[in-house]
Amino acid sequence: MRLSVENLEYSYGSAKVLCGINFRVDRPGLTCIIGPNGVGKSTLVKCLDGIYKPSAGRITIGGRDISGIRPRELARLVAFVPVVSGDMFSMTVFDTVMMGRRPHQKLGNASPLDREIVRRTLNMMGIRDLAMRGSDELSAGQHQRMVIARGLAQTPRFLLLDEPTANLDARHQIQVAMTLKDLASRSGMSVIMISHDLNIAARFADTIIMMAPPGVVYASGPPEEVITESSIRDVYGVGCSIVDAGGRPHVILLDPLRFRETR
Amino acid sequence: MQDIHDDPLLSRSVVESVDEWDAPVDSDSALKTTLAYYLHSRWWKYVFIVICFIAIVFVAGYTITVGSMKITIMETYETIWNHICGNIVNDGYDFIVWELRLPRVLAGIIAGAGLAVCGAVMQNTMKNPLADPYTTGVSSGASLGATIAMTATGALFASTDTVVIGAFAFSLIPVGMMVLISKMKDSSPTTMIMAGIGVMYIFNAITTVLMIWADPQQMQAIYRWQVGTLEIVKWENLPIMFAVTLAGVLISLFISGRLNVLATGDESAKAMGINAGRMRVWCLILVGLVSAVIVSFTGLIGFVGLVAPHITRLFIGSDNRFLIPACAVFGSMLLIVADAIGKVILYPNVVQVGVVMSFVGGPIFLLLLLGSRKKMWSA
Repeated sequence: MRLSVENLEYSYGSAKVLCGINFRVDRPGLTCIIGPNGVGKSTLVKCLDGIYKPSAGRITIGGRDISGIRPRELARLVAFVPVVSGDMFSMTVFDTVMMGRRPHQKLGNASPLDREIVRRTLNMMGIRDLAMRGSDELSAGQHQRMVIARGLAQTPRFLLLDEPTANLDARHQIQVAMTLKDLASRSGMSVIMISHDLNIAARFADTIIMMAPPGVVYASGPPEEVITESSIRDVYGVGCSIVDAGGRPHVILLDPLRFRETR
Repeated sequence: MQDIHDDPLLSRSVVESVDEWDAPVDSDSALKTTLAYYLHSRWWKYVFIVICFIAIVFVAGYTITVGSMKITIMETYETIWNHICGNIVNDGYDFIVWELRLPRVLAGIIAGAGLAVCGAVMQNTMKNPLADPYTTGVSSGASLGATIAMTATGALFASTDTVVIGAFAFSLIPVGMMVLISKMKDSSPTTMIMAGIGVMYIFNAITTVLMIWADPQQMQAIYRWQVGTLEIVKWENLPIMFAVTLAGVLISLFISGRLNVLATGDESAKAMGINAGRMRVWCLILVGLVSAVIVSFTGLIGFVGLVAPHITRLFIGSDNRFLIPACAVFGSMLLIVADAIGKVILYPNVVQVGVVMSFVGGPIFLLLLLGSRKKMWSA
């Protein structure tokens, strides 16, 4: 199933944050969206899930414009994992992850299949031992993994994640990125995630979409084509050295002083 | 596509841990235990509801015994049973129990259930632990509408329909305001509560001004009604109270799963297929209708909608699928206990239930809030 973005524009009032975005995701894999702060990454992802309505352009899934897809059906196709989930009242981790099954349920009743999927996603995110804990008893990293598990429980065709590794330690950053990549390669799911960690993106992504001000796609393609010294310099305004790490680029950022000397 | 197992830079332990996450679940006894525990934990929630239900029956029976004529609790049940069976043995007892005291208790049960469920629904839809029909001005709006209807018609409860319609119409003013505020970009739960409190003061002031034109009898009735009382409810008022409250509770129960999702935030809710904005509007209208009908008969009873959901959460958690029915029975129990206390504490004088709720509800709420290890909300 193909996700296609054509001439997408979005404005907050008079401030335009997305200006003519075009790209396609037409095969399973891990796509990372990278770019500096305020460039419209989160806005783009929220547009992809129908949370925000674009000012212009269109987004299609399998040839159908998402504005014409009913919310419940769209939730079966696309899941969104926010960077911060503001749960007001604490429920158990199991119940919170079970919420992800709602778009698939009739009258909100959990079937044995739903429970099985929740169990698997808890297992996958390494939080099975926390299943009966209240969500307010979790650390930020555990909470993050619970919210990712909820997105996975939706069993969507496209899983969108807004900085899923933001609250995680180094080990869990790698584990979550690997799990998402592994899932994408084996389940046929397309995973699109925003990341500020260039090396996580370079190491695990099959495709990278690099965004730049004023809300445009600067480059997209395989990591070795997108993550280059010149692209990092142009988009982030920071100098860097790129080294080869097992066939993937690895970014070593230079401090601004040294960067000025090398220019 | 590169397999994670072929990645030379990843340590073996990390790769193995990912493999472990993806291990077949059927062979995982820990998860099976978890599921068994999960299903078992639901039983406590059903038990809590049953305990509250039994408590309602006993407290209701006890409340009916309190009055100038002493009747034992067994005589109370016997009198009610005989009346239902059409076999009235003692006309005096039957009149006192059935005509004078039972409507008050039933009104307490209905009002307690309705207000508690309204509080739970509001707290979830507005993502605000302080929201209830009283703090958001919905009750004050209903109160003003009912007062206008009463002073305009010239007699208390001359027309039940007029009072209810007046109460509902005015309860929609704060509801509409909250909907508008919630759509503002920089609105916060605090803004909505502050707006509700502002509206509450304005409506209370207008109600007080309207009392200038009321005759002494009306003034006394309106005053008693403003502090919240169950003693003015008659049998003929109960069917509409019951019908609207029952409908409100059943609809809330039907949407309880969606309320859980809505409480995670608008963006998450939309991502899970729920139109958060539309659902919030309908929920607030539902709450407005139920509160208006209750308030138009009982007056302003303030603490039930705020306290009952929080106390219930301490016992059974925040899952609305269980919280809504549990709130209904706990709210009923809380209100008739408060009414019973009001009847006996300064006997033969009666302290109105609204006053007792403020005296009892506040300290209980603080005690549970400060004494509990479990956090009731994570805001």
